[in-house]
Amino acid sequence: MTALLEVSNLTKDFPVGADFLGRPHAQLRAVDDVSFALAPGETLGFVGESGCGKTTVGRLVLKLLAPTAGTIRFEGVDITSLSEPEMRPRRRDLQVVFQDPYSSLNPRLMVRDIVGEPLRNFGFARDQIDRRVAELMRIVGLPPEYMSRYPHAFSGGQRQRIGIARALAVSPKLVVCDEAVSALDVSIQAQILNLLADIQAQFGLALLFISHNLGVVRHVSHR
Amino acid sequence: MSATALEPTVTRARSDFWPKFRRNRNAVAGSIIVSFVVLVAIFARLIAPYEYDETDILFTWAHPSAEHPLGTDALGRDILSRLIVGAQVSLTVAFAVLGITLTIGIMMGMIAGYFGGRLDAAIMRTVDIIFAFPDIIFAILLASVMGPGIITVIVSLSVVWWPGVARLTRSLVLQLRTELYVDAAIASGTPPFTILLRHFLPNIVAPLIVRASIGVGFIIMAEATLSFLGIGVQEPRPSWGGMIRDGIVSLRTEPYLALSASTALGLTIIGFNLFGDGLRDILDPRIKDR
Ligand SMILES: Nc1ncnc2c1ncn2[C@@H]1O[C@H](COP(=O)(O)OP(=O)(O)OP(=O)(O)O)[C@@H](O)[C@H]1O
Ligand SMILES: [Mg+2]
Repeated sequence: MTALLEVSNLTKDFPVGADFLGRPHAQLRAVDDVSFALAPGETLGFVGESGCGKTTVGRLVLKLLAPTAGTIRFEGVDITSLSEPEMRPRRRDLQVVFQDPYSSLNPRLMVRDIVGEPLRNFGFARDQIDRRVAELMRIVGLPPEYMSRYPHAFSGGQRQRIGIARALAVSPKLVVCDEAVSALDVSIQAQILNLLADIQAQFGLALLFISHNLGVVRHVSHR
Repeated sequence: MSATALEPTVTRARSDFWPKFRRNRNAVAGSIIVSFVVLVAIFARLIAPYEYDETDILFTWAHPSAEHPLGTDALGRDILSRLIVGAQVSLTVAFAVLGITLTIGIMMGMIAGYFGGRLDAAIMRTVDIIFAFPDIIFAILLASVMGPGIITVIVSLSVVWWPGVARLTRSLVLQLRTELYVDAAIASGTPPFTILLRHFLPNIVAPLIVRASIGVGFIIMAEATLSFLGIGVQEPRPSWGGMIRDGIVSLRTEPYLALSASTALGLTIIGFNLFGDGLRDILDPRIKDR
């Protein structure tokens, strides 16, 4: 079986400071020579202390950042060398749930449009989108009627569910969860973790689960 | 997350706009002045008691009377009528410049802020260069090439005004760029220009509206300055700047022309500034102290 995601020797430097010509003073190595592989349907927990570069790895895998060195293969294709237009069709299989449930939802859009955004991008028709969004709302445990509300009307845990619904919308093969529960109360954390575990069992998607909390990762991961 | 904690309020973020508006004295006073001036400008030819170019050589520099409420000018033309038609000129220039500068400035600012890199550097260096150039000098240069007139005024004010809009837009875009919903949109496969329209524009529009309504006052002032210098609207069409220039010549003996044109100019500018200040308090309390 070939790996769904294969990361080899990934390195990322950030420029630090700048002189008056905009040249950086130094480079900060946020990610240093990271390699791992993830099979379809598998969960990989990614644990480390704060500031060790976990979020950066997640953003590199999502191609929100370009690596300094190393390669990322998704379904055998090296995505690090793809241009953004070449990458866009592949984004259907590679979704994300972020840590901060407040910043990750646009306050001016209704839940229907937030969860429907990936569907729109991949050519679903208006009525298909509404039906799918209602279905997703049920999957993540929210009443489908709530889809005409705006994000400010929801609690942190509910927002995180909306973010999960968005990530699931186009049935991706891999979801990157960056501290998906760290901003939530402990009791709600357990609910969201169980939801993620259920969804994974049900849809057989792979999870790259990033957290600084080993207990949380143990709860969901296979390795 | 218990079922009781969930009952979300369904109020929209800005449904309280009108109650706030009514309570804001600046906004109310400003909007009354602004709507008055706009209405006068739209219906100028219907309201004006005389034709703006109707001369009466036997009745020059008449003092205010029932026939000519604000008197007449050096050619015996009715000052009130010229003032009314002058409003049309001022507002036409102001809204044309506003439309052009908002379109170009918002586009350039969003592109610079969102894409960054060389595109950003190129756009922002252009902005810096235009900022370094004194506005009036630029208009005079342009007038010497294009000849004076309303088009020259619109073009030159647009050239010097879009950079301010672009700078503001860029800084607003940079603030939003770190929001995770932007990254979520990229990761969902949303193309860049859709991201700009769907995720950036609606979130930066409030400060831009505020900026625009305060900007109108400045643009009207700049137009009056250019017409005062003779670069703007040409005779016999009236403009407030031109009327002030003609009136100043004989200010001591015949003050009505310069006084009435300055008053109209001042009131209009105050109106737009009050309106803009009011909107700023209502729409965007954060930028109050800037
Ligand atoms: N855009 C950036 N520019 C400069 N430095 C950055 C940038 N993003 C991250 N860093 C630095 O890279 C290092 C790793 O950051 P990262 O966010 O990946 O850590 P993390 O493991 O996710 O931490 P946390 O557990 O706090 O979320 C940090 O020192 C951070 O300051
Ligand atoms: Mg992190």
